[in-house]
Amino acid sequence: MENVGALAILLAFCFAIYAVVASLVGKWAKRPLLNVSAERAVYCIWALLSTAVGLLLYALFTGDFRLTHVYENSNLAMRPVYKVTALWGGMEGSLLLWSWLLASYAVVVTWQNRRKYRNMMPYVIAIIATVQTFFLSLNAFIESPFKVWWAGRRVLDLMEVPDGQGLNPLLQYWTMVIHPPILYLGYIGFVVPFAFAMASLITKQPGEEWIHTTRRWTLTVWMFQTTGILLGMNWAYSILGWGGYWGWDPVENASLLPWITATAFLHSVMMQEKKGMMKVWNVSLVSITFWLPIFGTTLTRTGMAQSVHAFGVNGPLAQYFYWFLGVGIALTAWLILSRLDYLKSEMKLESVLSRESSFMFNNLVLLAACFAILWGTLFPVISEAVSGSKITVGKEFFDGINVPIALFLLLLTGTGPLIAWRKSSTESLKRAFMWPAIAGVSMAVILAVFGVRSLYALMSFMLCTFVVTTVAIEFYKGAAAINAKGGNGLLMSMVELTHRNTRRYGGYIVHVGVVIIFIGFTGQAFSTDNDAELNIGQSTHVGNYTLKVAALENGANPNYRWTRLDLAVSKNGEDLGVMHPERRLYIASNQQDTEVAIRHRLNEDLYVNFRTAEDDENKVVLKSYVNSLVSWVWIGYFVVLFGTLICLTPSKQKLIFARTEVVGMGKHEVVKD
Amino acid sequence: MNRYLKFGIPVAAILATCVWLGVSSTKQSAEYFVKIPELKQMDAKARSRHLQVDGHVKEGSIVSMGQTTSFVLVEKEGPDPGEQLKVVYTGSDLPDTFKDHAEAVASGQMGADGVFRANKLQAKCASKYEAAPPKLSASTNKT
Repeated sequence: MENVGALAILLAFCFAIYAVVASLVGKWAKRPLLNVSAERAVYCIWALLSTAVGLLLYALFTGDFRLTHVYENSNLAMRPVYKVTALWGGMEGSLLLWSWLLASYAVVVTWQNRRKYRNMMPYVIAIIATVQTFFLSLNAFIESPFKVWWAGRRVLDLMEVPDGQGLNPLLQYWTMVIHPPILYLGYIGFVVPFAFAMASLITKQPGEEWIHTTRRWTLTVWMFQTTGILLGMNWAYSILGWGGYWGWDPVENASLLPWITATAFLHSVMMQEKKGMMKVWNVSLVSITFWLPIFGTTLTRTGMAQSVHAFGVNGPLAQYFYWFLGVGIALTAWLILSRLDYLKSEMKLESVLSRESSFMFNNLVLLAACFAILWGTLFPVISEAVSGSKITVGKEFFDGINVPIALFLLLLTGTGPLIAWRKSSTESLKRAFMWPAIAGVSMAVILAVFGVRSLYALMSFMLCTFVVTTVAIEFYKGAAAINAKGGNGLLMSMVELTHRNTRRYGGYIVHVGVVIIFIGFTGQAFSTDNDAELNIGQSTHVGNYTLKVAALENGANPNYRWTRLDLAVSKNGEDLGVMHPERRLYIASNQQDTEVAIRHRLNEDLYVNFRTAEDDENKVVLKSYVNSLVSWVWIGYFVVLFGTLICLTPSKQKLIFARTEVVGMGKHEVVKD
Repeated sequence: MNRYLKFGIPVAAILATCVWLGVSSTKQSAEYFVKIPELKQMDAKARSRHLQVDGHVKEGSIVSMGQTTSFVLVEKEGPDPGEQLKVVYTGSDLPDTFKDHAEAVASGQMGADGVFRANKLQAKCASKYEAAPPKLSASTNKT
């Protein structure tokens, strides 16, 4: 079976090379049949990789522990759902998943465009297949998921094979089941806009063809990135037991970097669509967004950056990644530079107080944040190269620079959408911002009166109120206009309004979601925690809560042994029931794991974690946190998701608007939906 | 006003603020990453900095007394393996992966008595594959 799996991967590798060559030769020699065969090769790659993934899953489920990957990442007593997770629980499997998802994307793109963009498609396929070839070379030659460690012994004698070591207990949690595939979907997905951008540069397409063809892709992929990151945060919060959800670890940073550039791209792309500006910037951004995840993978999986994430460090793999990155980025840069003539801006910035410049500032600070995070992550490497001593920077650095940037972005979120294109008069600005500004300042004053003293928290709440008010006014104005023309109620008019221009109003909803997430972040300013050593029967306080150790229970099942704490909780004298934090020792891996107990409420979470003291089994070391407003982060995510889905819904009517003052090219109309 | 100046000034102001924020917060949060042998050779001034020490937890050395945990870190790689450092960690956030043989990074300051006082502890689980069967070379593990 492992031979069939390995063969499938090897064949897929050959097909990927064939797809690159056939696509390019077919295009250059004008042999359309070759191009068709390249497209068929794309489908074959997917079928072959699906076979490989299917076989590995089969091996995991049947417990074929002769295979290294199965042995290292699963055991018999594991729950079935985690056997699926074990597929990407190790390096080999996660790289195979990566290849398979890439192949799936390739199939969708090829199928969608089988009759469209005949000029660009050969290059699109060649580019995607090149990336596929790279990852398949890793699957086939470096990190084979079908490696057998039981080789040389009697293969049929399966009874002798021991049980596996089990999946890392930290990964045995529901968000970890879906976090890696979804994050990968976000990482890999940018290959499609990137391939279209490069293809349009190669074929010297005029205008913004690639942006129109890939807009939905970009947004969908961004949605996956956001979801993946939020799931990771939720996992860290629920499993790692240190009370937070973001620790500025290199692996976390690596996932955030492409998200930031993707967000910048989603905004600056509007400048190109509507104004024909920032063309070089946009192809650069889409390229950066594509290359950053691969750079991040290099960073975290080759041991370049120290991380608590225990990825395996693999020397030969690092070499492959360095070459791929080096050659890939050089080619991309060369292509952009050689096509600068086609990327001339059609207009110029006129006023600092304009929509254009607010987009520009948005991009500027997003990129500044991205650079700062990259700088902080690479600081140990840079400082060692420059001064010889390895210096790390932590939370203070990342918070110190990113909190002010985030506040400035919030301000732009509120102001940007209301500022007119080209130039705004001070009079119109006054009209648009008077009420939101009053609302924001009032909020800050009220909170200050109620005792909020943190400057950043006050600013954050002020700006959040400001943004929400601007969005509310936008919805109200539009809906009132529709309602006045004979609508049926303000609420229905709002739905109608959103349906007429889903991108704009969906975008506003995303902004509101981001604001809600920021409210959650700001809650950190009010969080408290407490350490205590307690015997059974003793109690301690955290915030307004009283925690009493009622009992300790022990038990075991085939997968792990556990110790559970019964913690009686009350708040201001009112009984809130019993919480059960738990500690587990997984038998197969001999690894400890904490099951934190969390009481989620809208205003605050009570978060408790414990261990038993080494010297006395009846003594408990209890760590408790009161985390303010954390639930808002998760709620905000669902609002962002809802808004993004609305953006992806086609608008009711296609709005057609002509570009003004197109310089250097024939006037053309752009269809906007 | 000149168009370049009009946009140049705010752009420069934003970038300057970012650089200033970056430099000032780097000073606040910088920690020197050292190996145990390096730590032993450092002068008093260098030792007074905020440090991160990396090593492997010596078998049987972990002693927990409530919120204080003491243990010994051993250097396993490099030119002079075997160098040891006594560490006292105060706090209740002991990572689940912290145990004998695990690779650990302790952050804190060196005491005058030669004991390293840590306020933060990170650990990588290294021992998971120690019982691995022969011929098993790649020990990869993803968290």
